[in-house]
Amino acid sequence: LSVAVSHYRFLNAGGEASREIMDFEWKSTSLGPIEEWPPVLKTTIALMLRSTFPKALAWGPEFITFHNDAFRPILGKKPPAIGKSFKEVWAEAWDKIGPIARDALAGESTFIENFPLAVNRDGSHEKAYFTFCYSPVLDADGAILGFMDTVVETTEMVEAQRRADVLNAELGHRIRNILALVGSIASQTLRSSDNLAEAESSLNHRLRALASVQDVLRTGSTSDAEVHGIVATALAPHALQDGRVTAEGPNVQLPEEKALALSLALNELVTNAIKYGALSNETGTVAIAWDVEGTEGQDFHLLWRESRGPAVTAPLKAGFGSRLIQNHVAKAFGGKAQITFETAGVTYEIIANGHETSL
Amino acid sequence: MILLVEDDYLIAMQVEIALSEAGFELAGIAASADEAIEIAVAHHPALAIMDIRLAGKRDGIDAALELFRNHDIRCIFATAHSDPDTSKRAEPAQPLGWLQKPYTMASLVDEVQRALEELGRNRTQ
Repeated sequence: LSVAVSHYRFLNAGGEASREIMDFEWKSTSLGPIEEWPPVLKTTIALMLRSTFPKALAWGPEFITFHNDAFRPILGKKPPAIGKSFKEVWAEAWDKIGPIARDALAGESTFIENFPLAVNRDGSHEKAYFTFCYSPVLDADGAILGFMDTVVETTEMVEAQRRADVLNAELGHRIRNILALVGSIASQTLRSSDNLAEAESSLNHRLRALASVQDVLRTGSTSDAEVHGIVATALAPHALQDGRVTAEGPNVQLPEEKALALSLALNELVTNAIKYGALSNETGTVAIAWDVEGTEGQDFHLLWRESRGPAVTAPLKAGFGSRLIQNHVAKAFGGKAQITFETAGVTYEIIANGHETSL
Repeated sequence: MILLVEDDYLIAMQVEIALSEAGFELAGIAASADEAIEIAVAHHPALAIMDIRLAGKRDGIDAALELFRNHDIRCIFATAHSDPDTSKRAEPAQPLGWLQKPYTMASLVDEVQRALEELGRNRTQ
């Protein structure tokens, strides 16, 4: 009895896979019963079973398959592979794997990272990625008897990298667009300012408005920002007294272009109010109210109303600031944007998509 | 006459100023592919300056392909896109040039001048 048992000792402590090897009907295969297997096959199987790296062994000219427990997730829901031809197990990818297997049997090891394979593991084809090495298995005389496949599936890593690349490209695109926008704002601010000091101050405020939106933009394949965040970050740098400015409206998401335009507009308005309007005295107030219909803010309506400030006189010429808050915002929102210099106070209104009911 | 296809108002404004100061006449500013075709049909511009990401369903490459195939108008692409796939898609529209955002107004004017000379040479050949 002890002699018979010793034939199987190489399968000890080999996990689930070793039981499968033990139970398989080997007699009907070209390998014959386990008792007759050559020592090199047993040694190689023992080595494989005790590895925590996923490993499979393809033995002989028929590529008879053995694998360890760690290899099982790579097989997915494929039928049991032990005892079958490696070629049959991976039939769907054999056109790609076959040449590498033949190289291994010719004595050449192959190491490939993130190799894409269309595999069928649960009844449907999927693209998966593997980092693996096929290495020949030699006996003591140097004869090649099979090959060992040591493999790590890298599908999740490759897909995560792909998502990161898409995000990176999107970010790169946005940075270039923003720099183009900054260039445009800078050149037009310089053109429309009376002196360098004024240009510097206006430019700084406008850049800060652009920068503040970046804090509230959520970036994915598209970007958007909440109106509350846009209003709060546009007003924050001015350290306004409590109660001087009220802001009321639903906290909806605006896509990036609208968020940038709104932030620039609010910056122009608040800067103007502090210099000449309702925030230039001790008593004036600003009420900002908005409403929205439609999921993408396409029916957005915003009203900025200044009151109890000094008497308003309309500026003599429309500068870049006024083009910015009217034409640019109108275009970004696909509607109208208008500033009105009434004696009692400045009002400014954005009406997107013909949504003209007043608040 | 030059057609400007750019959906960002501020950038369009800057380009418009730069081109008119350099003595070029603008056929119009389009924010979408459809608008670009409309203006091209109405004014027959010599070339178009084309952004790739536009408002609407079709992008600047779609617009450029239609401008070239149906109206014999070629484009200078002015865009933040720089990947090889994008330039490959644009190839059949026979681009006159590429400007990568952010570009200077001087480089834009130079590119337009160079492209007009190229078009002039092709016509006399």
